[in-house]
Amino acid sequence: MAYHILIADDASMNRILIKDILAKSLENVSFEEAINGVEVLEIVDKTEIDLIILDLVMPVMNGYETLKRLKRHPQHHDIPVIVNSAITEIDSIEQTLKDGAVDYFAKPLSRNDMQIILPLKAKNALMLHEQQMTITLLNKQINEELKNANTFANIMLPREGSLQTVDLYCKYHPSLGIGGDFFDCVEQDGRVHFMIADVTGHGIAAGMASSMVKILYRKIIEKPGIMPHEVLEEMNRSIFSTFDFAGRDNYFVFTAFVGIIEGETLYYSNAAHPYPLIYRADLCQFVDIDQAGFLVGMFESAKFETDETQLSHEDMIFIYTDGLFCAGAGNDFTGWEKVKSLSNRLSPLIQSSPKEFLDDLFYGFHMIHKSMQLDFTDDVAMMLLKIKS
Amino acid sequence: MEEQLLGSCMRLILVDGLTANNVQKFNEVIERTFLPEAAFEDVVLDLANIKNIDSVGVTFVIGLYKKTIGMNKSFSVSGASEDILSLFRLMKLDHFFDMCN
Repeated sequence: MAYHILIADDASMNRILIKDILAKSLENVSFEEAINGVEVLEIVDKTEIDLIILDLVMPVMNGYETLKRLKRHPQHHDIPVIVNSAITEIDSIEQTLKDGAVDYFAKPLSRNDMQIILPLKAKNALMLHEQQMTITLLNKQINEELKNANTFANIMLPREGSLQTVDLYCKYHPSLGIGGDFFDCVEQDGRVHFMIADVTGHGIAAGMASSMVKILYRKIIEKPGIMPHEVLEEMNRSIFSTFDFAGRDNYFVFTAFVGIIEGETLYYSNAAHPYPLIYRADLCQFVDIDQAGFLVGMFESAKFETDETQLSHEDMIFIYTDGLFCAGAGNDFTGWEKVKSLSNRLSPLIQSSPKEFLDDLFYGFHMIHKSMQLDFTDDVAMMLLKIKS
Repeated sequence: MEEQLLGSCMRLILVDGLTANNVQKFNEVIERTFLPEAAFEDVVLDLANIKNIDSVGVTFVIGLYKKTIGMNKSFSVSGASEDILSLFRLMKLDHFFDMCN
């Protein structure tokens, strides 16, 4: 790689000397020269610079001010700066290092400085800069990929207000641009099918798995008259028959809650998912759906159960993932009681604005986590289905 | 993870949280301990010191259960907090193995 080094010093002899030393000791280097800080700032604006050797005492703009401006600059703050000055007071050295210089050496240069110290300091600074540039580039690429994946994940979500028999409200907050939470809701043959799932872990691998869950789910519910426990059993079977786990158990594991609304009946089956809630409009309060069940993807022969309950107009089904209440390193993992309690406190809002209810519940948990100096660390998905009157 | 062999019982005592960041090192201990010639017959996973657990931690417990049963040994969990028991009951794990104090 070719390096471009800027030498800033108002004394031409010093510039020539440093240039000569570095040209002899480093390969593939080219140089720019500046005689004051203003020229330094002009050059870095126009040219890619990999290292600056900066004198402190210069006319027009001195090295202290130049260093401060460089380190405040959004594009140039990463350029390593080595200070080279006749000022040898420790206060000056300390100040420039505090202001962001990577190193310091004193003038006049000794023989050792010329032959060993300066070339090594310059080489180290260039290597550090190169590593930083690589990391910055990789971060940019990853962020771009995550942005694309997030767009894709959002396309997979059900559209609010698109159904005839229920009003649908959703809130999704992925933890790493893309997450392992999945929810879907679709009307088919006079029934409303819905599902929420939370793939173990989060991030890109979990996001890939949740995409597969969606495809599996949509394919399985095509079967006429299928019941929720059959959906879960079929998904579980498909995972074991489709994927080669190579002796490992936890590549593709998720909790899920599957529901079907048919007329005024809710049929449901739970696969280890935090207990969903039903808002009973006549009681003006939330009640649990307290069915337990196995995780999907852990036991090949797992059996699930379908239970049922009656729904009335204006009742709402609220399903969510554990990322809502579980923040930090695996603490408060049974926070479903908190979800129920806070939901009941916010229940006056749910009748007038279900969307606002979801926002306020999310904000409420954000504040709970914040009070413990935590924040959401896992994906959060919430879905509210309101039975139309 | 500490291993205590008492007669035919291998007691695995967890001291670090049963969470994603620790599971890799737990698995390394399991790989080392669960050799085909292992002399123990019963495995007890001691969770008395565990306050934190996440979904990856749960899959570790289930994986350990499956591995133990696959080697024709018995498996149980001891000392789990009430919160961990609630989580295991949500997942119906109490149908598979004993959870005792």
